[in-house]
Amino acid sequence: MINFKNEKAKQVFDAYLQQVEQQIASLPENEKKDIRMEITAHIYDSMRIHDNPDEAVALQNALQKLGKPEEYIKPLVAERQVYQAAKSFNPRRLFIALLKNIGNGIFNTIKYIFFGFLYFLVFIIILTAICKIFYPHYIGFYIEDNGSFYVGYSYNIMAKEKLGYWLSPILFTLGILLYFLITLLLKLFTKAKKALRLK
Amino acid sequence: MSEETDFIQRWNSQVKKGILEFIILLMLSKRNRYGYELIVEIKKYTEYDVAEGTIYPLLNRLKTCGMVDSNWEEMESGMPRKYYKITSVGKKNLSEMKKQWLYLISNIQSIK
Repeated sequence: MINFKNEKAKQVFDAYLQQVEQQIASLPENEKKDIRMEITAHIYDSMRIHDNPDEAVALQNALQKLGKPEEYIKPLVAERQVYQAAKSFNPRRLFIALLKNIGNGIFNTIKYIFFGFLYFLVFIIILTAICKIFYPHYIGFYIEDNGSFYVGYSYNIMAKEKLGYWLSPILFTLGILLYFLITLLLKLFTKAKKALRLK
Repeated sequence: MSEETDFIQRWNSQVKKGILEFIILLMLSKRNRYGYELIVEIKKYTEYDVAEGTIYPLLNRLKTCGMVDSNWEEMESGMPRKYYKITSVGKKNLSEMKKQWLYLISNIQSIK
């Protein structure tokens, strides 16, 4: 903590730190502490170097140079969240992290929409597996007379269903397998993206 | 005239923004540095007027990719500082980046 002599400076500093807290609220405590300490040290150094007799003015200058917390902490938190969420394989955390990253630059947006689409595909596969339990006669793995095949809802009463009740466990397994594969891919992508770009 | 100045200014800041990671790795290859020190030097060398906070998402990304590592150090006076150092993976990538940088410059210069 910085020991302010000037009460106004202390209030401004606390208000700034409050904005930082809002941005980092979703991170684990150890990461919050790390960011909080690093920003405080930055402000301290900046005030010391541009030494101004008026503490409040020195602080104001330092904060102006540092920038608004929502501008530089947002991308930092979003990236850390995707990395942490992919590590945890937790669907809720992944969904929130992906949502937060959409909008952070065009390449990131494309990347996260792509992964969002893949997760949606997994959702459809699992949903089909569940629907098969409730509507066994309408959902299945069908082969038409012309040789084409599909999985899903069939209007064609002539189409032959091939898997019967096996469809549900097969689709469940496929869905879960895909979920882990996509998450693994996202994890590798987040970690190695820059490394690959540099090569 | 004013339009040309705006154009150059925008181009200038785009180029500098694009090579910030390269500059950070170059600076860290000389010695370990903390965030504030890095951004002050970047501003000095590139005359790039950027919000100082910009350095932190970049450092975080470099760390996630294994290019840099960090540790907190207690100071004799003042606050503890988070020092960043380049890793062996970072050094390897930096030497490749230097090659590509020089290659790019010489190629651009050869355009007639």
